[in-house]
Amino acid sequence: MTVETRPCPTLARCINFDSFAAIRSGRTLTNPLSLRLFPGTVLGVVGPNGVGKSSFLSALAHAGVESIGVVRAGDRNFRSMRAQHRASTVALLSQDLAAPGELRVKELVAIGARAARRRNPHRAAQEALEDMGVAELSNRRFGSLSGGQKQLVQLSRVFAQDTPLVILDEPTSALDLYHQKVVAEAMQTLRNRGKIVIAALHDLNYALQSCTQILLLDSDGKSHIGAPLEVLQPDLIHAAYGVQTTIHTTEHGHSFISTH
Amino acid sequence: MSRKSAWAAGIFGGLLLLATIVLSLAVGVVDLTLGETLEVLFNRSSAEPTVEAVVWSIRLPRIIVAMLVGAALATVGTVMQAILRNPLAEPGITGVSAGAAVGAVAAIMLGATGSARWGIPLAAFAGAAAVSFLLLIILQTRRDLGTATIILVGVSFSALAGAIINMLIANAREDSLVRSALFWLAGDLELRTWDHVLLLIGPVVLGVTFLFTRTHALDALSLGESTAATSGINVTRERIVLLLVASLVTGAAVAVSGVISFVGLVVPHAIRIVVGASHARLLPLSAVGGALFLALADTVARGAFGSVIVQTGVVAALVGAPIFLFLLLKRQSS
Repeated sequence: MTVETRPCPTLARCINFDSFAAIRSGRTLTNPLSLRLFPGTVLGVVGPNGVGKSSFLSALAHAGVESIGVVRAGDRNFRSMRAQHRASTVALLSQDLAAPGELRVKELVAIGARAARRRNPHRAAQEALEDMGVAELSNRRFGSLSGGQKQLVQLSRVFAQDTPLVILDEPTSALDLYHQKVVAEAMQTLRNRGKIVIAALHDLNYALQSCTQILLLDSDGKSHIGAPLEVLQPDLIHAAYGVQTTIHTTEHGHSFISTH
Repeated sequence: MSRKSAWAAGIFGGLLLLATIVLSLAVGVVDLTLGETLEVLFNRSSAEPTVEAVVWSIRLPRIIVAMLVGAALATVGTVMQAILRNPLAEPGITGVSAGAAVGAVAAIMLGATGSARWGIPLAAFAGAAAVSFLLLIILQTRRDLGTATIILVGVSFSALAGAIINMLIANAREDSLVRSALFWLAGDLELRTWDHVLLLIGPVVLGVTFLFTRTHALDALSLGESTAATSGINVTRERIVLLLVASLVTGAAVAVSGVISFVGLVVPHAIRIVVGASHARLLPLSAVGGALFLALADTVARGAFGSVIVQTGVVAALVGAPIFLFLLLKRQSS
């Protein structure tokens, strides 16, 4: 496994985990994890149902799940940050996509911009909606949207927050093929802007193609981290999911995973 | 909302409130024309003493009480619906109204009946404050409680309070006391005076103004705890502060008016259907809407039924329920 140990070139923009683990009902869900994420990382968190992917992400975002260890953005400890300050550092798309049905889409997205105290929340909201290709939903009420549209709108809210760390819990669970691609491209854009994305994903092929690193959580608390092709190997996947897989490589150099 | 349209809405709302006051002043057993009403309002010294007393000592304080109570309950209802993420949340959902009712009924049974100025409201407010305090202790010691559990905590407070009220009423010394208690429980603004205005104005104006400053927090909390926590909100602390302020404002309102539950439940929904759910708009418009609605309901209660006694709370529900049903079904079909 290649755990990054080189010094962080732009220290302030790295995310450092030091013996970090989420806690539920008094026990840690994974073995304590130490790693360093550099700007421009898209980390896919994969693993079987119930292994604690969401808890890991929520604990990381300080969104109601306890944890041990320390996570720092540069030299600033997440735990000791004020909530207002943390909102300028980390944004979260949780699996709870619900919002008041009468809320207008542009108002919902502006909540993200306001959270990070951006100067012009309305413009930031409009830009985020355009980036996700759903600007035409701007004046719609949230309750009138389809499940997929709701997810795209909530994603726009997260992007409008414009934080260096973006945490996405199953961002494509309700999306069609086209919009899955839109989200993958959005993650690439964030990566190119030097941000760090951490996303829980179920689709291993999607993870393989859209992430620069993979964190595989195993049900016995073990975890594996590294480049996608290193971690999504058949033996590790079999150990985690109990499913046999093969990695195929096309003549263009694209890899994909098939189950048998 | 842009600054300009906010000003426009504010001025329009203010004019609407003033117009309602003048209209409402003219209605009652002693019928006045609008001209007479304005004359008494702006030229108080030269007015006929009985008319002056009707307008200045009986009707005006009652209207102002109605507006303060309406604004308070509608604002708090909006807040409760946002932080508990539940459309059925109303100001009394944490059990404060029931607590206030215990205080009021106890005071009535002890003899503070009729027009007693301070006894009943103070006892009612003490009851509401006691429930708020219990809630605060529970929220502080169990910081992990979810919104559904908080609602159930309120349900148990209300059940407990209901049992105590039934016990007090069953053991009343005289039947007239039972009647007084039932009258209070239905919510009425009969015989409300400047004393009641004084009692209300501090907690309501301070509390509602504070809640107006929390619009981002309310927006974020209405998206759920996880999202709120990453949107700059210290969820545990914010929820405790908001629930406490909301409970105390409700306590003050209910202490003066009796239990008028309909306003806090329905006005926020009606306003939300019309202007959307962004709290920067929803909260002030709910306050104005609540004030208008209860003042008009009270005007109807005073004027329209002749010899039949109709309480303010009863009119609020009689008039409000069909309007609300209409709005609700109209929205579903579009």
